[in-house]
Amino acid sequence: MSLIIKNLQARVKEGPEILCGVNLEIPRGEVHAIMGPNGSGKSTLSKVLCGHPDYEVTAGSAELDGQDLLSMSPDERSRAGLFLAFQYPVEVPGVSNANFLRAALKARMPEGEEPDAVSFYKRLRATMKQLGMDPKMTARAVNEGFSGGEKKRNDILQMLMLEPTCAILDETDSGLDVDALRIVSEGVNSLRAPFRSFLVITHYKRLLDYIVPDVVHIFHHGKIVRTAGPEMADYIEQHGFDFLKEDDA
Amino acid sequence: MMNKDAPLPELPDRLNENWRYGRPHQFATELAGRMDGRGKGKLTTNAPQECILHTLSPDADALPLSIGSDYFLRRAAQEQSDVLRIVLPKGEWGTEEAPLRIRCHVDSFYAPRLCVELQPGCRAHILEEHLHGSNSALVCLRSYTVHPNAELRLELRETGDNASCAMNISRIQCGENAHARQLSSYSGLAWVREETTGELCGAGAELLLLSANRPEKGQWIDQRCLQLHHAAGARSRALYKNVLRGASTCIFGGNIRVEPNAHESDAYLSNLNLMLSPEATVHSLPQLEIMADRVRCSHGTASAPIDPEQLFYLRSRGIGETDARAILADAFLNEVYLLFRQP
Repeated sequence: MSLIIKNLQARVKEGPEILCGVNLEIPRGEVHAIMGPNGSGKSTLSKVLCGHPDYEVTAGSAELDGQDLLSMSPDERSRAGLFLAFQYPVEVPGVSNANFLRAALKARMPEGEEPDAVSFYKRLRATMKQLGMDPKMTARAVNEGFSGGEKKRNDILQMLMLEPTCAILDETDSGLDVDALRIVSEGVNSLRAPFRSFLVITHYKRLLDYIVPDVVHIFHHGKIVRTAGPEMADYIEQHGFDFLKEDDA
Repeated sequence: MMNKDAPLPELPDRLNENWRYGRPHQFATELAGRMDGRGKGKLTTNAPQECILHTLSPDADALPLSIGSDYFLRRAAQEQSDVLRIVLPKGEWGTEEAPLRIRCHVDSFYAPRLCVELQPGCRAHILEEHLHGSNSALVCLRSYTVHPNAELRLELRETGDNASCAMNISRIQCGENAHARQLSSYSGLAWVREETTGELCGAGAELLLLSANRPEKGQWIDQRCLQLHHAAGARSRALYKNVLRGASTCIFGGNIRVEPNAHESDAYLSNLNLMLSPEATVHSLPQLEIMADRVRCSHGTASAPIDPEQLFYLRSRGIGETDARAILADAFLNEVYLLFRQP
């Protein structure tokens, strides 16, 4: 089992509860999708799992490959194999993409060791080519002045370079045009492996046409309320989330 | 030239607007006390001998302008300290990789006078290093005259220990179509006072004043700059950035002054501070004085801790908190270095 979440409850610090008992298991090699109405807590789940300081966990547990995620700092969670492709990737002026990635790779190496510069740049350029990115972007500051689509692509570049064992993609399709969506999805699919799991958060089935999930969960009021196969995405596409009103009633 | 018989003005104190922040009386008194001792130091350069003079030119070498430190300006001018005058004719002098060097070694107290003139068509990369011995003080009067169509890139690096202090009173004059940029940085000194006046004296003149510092512990960095537009159609920029740690203090007073008839001036002034400690303090006062028409002038100042979203983004990629903070602090100052190096 890769990612196991049990009864996870969390809130914005000193604010109301947003996650109200999330239960989720994603075995290695599987892709799970989460869909749900706006404001249901999908992005909060991704941030809580990665240790965003704005949130506090009030109950429950989350384990990655048997490691207690909730007791780790955000950087420890990343080094343990967790990756979040952000809904809104952050701009970091003054830090080049190449230096940023080298620092992230160095953080995974034993004290005093660094990535070999030649092989690092060779791999970086090859990965950028795979994602259709301009090689000049290695020297540009992380996400600074990037379009929405370029930022998303840059996050996927980081994912491919860091090779996590569990990746969470938070609305990675938003801001991508049709061609970019296909290229990014191919990049994600290239990383699919029997030892790796994915959690894909999205509003639209179009992403799931490219990254075909094994399981689709419906998120509502801070927890998973339905679990089904990939056909659930087709149902949502056609009928929306009206059926959830019956649950509310 | 200065009248040596003129009475010295009073020591600056808090009533002097340009010394309003910090500990003006304490610093000024200490520095004035050090000036009573016999000056020791050495001013050297690797400029060709034919460009070097050790006497001033009454016509060319006017004193720098004071931004509040008239007392020290006058006293330093009256000291029998070293003078180094460099006149660089048309041609290339130094490169980014191998700049022309001016080195100022400071023992105890030293008050040298440095005058550098770039004649028309001259392009010079200059690295000016001020190296302090332990517990030393420097009052340096610096003048750089950049004649029409000349280009100056000047880096000033000042290093010393936490018992040393420095005052640089500087003037950079740019003639028609002359371009000048200065990057100053101060490291390790207990107290620094920098006064820089950039004068734009001809159409098409461009001046870029930059500074990047990392004060820590109880260090004080007090910087004042004046972008003085005498001529129409000139452009100036100032960007002063600091990363503050410990109980350090940065004081910044900047002024863009556009003289009558300096129409169509274009100027910007910015002071940005990254606060890495709750004990650190910043006083920032940018100002504008516009006396001409059709000008584009503005200023900005901001002081803030590290953006928590940026910090989380780096940590979410596995970079530990200490390293992430260091990367973001370097990144904050990086803009200054990039501006200095850009073609």
